[in-house]
Amino acid sequence: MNVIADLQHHGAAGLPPDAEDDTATGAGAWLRTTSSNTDLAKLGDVQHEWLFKDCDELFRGIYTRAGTGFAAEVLAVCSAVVGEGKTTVSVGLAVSIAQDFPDRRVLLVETDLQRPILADDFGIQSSPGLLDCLVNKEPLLAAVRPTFLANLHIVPAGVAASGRGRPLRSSHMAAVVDAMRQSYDVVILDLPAILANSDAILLTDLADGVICVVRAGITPVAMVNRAVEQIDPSKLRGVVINGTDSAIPGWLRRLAGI
Amino acid sequence: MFRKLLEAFFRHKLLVLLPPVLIPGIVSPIAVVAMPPVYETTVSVWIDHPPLLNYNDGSSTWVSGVQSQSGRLSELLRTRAFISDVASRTSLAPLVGSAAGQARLADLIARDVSINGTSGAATTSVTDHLLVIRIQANTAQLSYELCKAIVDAYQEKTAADQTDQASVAVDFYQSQLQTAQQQLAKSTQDLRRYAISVQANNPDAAQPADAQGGFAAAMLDPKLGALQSNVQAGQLDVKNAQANLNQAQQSAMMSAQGQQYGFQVLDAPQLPTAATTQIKKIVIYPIAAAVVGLGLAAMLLVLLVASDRSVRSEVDLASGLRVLGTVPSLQLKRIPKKLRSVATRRAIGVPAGMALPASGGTK
Repeated sequence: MNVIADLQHHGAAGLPPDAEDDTATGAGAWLRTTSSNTDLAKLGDVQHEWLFKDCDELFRGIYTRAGTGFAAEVLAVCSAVVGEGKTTVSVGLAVSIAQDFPDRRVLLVETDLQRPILADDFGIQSSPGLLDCLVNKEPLLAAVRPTFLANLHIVPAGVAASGRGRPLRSSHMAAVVDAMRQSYDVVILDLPAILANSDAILLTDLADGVICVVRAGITPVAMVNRAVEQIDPSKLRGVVINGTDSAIPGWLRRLAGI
Repeated sequence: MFRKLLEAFFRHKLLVLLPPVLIPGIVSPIAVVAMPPVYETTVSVWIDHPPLLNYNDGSSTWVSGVQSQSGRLSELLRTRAFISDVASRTSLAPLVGSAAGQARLADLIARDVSINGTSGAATTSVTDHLLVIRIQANTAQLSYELCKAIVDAYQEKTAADQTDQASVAVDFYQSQLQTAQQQLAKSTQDLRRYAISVQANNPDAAQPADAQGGFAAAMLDPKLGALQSNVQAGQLDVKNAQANLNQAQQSAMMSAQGQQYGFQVLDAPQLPTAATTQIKKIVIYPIAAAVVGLGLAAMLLVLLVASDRSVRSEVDLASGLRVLGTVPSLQLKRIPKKLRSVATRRAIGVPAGMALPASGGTK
């Protein structure tokens, strides 16, 4: 099953009608609102502030140090507890790799079924998603959504519903990951928090490499250590510290040399 | 560690700066309002050694009279006897006699008023000739009484000391003179008896007509010579004792007179009509409160750093963990703090088509 070919055939379903046109003008000039984002129009004149300076270089450094992007592999991004920025790092890595390697196909998969956010972030329908593939045996093609980057696709988690058991623990999950591995060069799994959801540990076994995200100033060192202990050391590529913002004024940092 | 302290300070600057700002802000008005009124009485004394009266008043070439007198007064204020003497001249007289009262008196007079504001104290300012004694108390009457009593007691004590010393010296020289006179009388009597006995045994012997004749007689009679020599020595002793006595009497008289000129009260104590503003205390309390506040702030800062177990940089992570990179938060003032992580994520995902969050606080 070649998901890319199918997607190219079916078009960019799930995106706004004019999204493809906007792509031509460049990502920085593109601005749109979600259904719950009615005030966004007010930010139109400040969109330049939203450009994350040195964002590309930042994630380029991360994936380079992690040894990702150069070979086909499945990379899992996890954290100790929720809210540490797994999705932020996953998105950043996926975008950077997709931009840096236009000939490589990148897939970002949201596996945190309890806190799905990708659909909302991209302003797309959350279903069908990964959950539908696992529970309803929907084809992967149905869950894959294109983005403004031609070689980057996403798979949202889908709509969570009670009574579905633990679909991430099913053997079908491994089959889905295998399918992704065949269709994409780089698959980035956005995992649940390891200490909050033990499914994440199983998913790290399906990945070739694991990156652990730590929220600066929030996550206690002990929890990070407990989470890291549960990851296969041979797969652990390293740690990304997210949300670092020094409260020390810049002039003082320059003066004190810190 | 320095970076962590700085980080904690700027992260919790409001909390850390609260004690040094809040404590002086609370303490200072309370201290000013709760500070009891203090009344101050001053007396100015002119200290000068009378140049025309040469007497020994214990002064030194290297120490001015003001320094000497102020030092003496300060030392006296540490003695129970002087304090009792001062207190017995004031409304504090009932306290004299009992051990507890004596202790309270010592507190009242010897200790500075600044400790608890309920007692009086004597402070001196030293110049070349002017000795200013300031007495502070919590009532005008007590301040006035204490000031007057201290000056009076000091003058009387000084005068009494000098009088006692002078009388002792005069008594001593008087006894010396008396002893010398008795010795002279005895020597004269011995000489007279010997001369009579010699004349009775030898009626033909003629009385020496002059001193040369007496000297010749003495040369011929050794005992007569010895007796004459005793009389001459006695006369010399009497003369010396008389001279010393005269000197002592003169010195005693001069020092009594000179003391009046040497310790002249120029500005007599007056009953204060208004309380004194205690600028020193008004300034000291806020400063002390600020110091305490700063100490608390420092402790708070150390506690904040010590209790922060979160990961803030690579050094906080266990060794062996490789840090691939750090992702800073997107600092946008228009976005609420709780939405900054969402804003950061979406800003990162903008190239792929992520929507930006609203500024109003909703995703």
